[in-house]
Amino acid sequence: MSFLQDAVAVILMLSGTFFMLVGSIGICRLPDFYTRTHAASKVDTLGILLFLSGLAVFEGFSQSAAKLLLIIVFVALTNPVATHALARRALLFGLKPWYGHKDEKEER
Amino acid sequence: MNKTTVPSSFWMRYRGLILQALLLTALWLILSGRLVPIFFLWGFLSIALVMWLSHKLHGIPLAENEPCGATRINIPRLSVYLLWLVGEIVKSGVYVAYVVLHPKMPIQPMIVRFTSKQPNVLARVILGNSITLTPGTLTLDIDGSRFTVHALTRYTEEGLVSGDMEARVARLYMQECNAADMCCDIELITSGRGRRGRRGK
Repeated sequence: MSFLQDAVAVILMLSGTFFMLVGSIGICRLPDFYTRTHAASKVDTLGILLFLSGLAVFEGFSQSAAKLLLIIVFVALTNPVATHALARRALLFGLKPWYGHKDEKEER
Repeated sequence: MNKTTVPSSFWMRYRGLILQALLLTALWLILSGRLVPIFFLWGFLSIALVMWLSHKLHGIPLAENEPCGATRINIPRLSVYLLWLVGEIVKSGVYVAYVVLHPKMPIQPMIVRFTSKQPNVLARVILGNSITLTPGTLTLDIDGSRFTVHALTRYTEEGLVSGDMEARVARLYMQECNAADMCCDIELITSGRGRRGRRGK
């Protein structure tokens, strides 16, 4: 039982770190602010959720696990709001989105 | 859409307050973790203070001419919706991770504007947050019932415009609605503004 619990916790934490790594790679690879926001918000949210649930499984049925679950709920609630606030401000400021390679070739 | 449902029973009338008290009690017990009378006393006082403050806040409207809490949310549907949303978060993360790790990065970003007939302000907030959490879409702006959404690929834009999620959110408040009617005045911006901006320089 304890081995199974540890295994599940390790798998969850490893996949969480994988998604956080992919989120960082996405921030470097994607072309403009809006698409980078996609990587930063969604992939990172999933990574943090997986990592924290891994920690909660590792703790077992205890008060710390309940606190971790609270953190999960708050991260899932606040992350889209923060993303929306950033992206909305960028849109209202007049930042132009990137629409793909085709346009640039036509221009040249 | 501003029809006030007449509270039929004690439960329907004070449902919000009872649920708020239960949730705050659970929060207090999780965070304090001690079962000593003095902690219960402080917990009771804090919960009373928080409920008094939020009762004061309740009178402030979220938008003009639209008081919040006029229609009651359907709790069984809300729990089903939250489970569905967790599934969407996982799909969204996996999808964006796939797009990022793909060697050619098959992205085709576009901005979608559409009008969604949501019953009230809170439904619009829920919809905006859910759009951000679902695969490849990001809410940029909500103006009245006009949504501005950034979509990462063509495929995600089709899923958004089909009105499936809009109908799910609207069903939290209303009895029945049709997915096809929810989303109208769709406008796609796939190019143009960015190009013109660059030429202007």
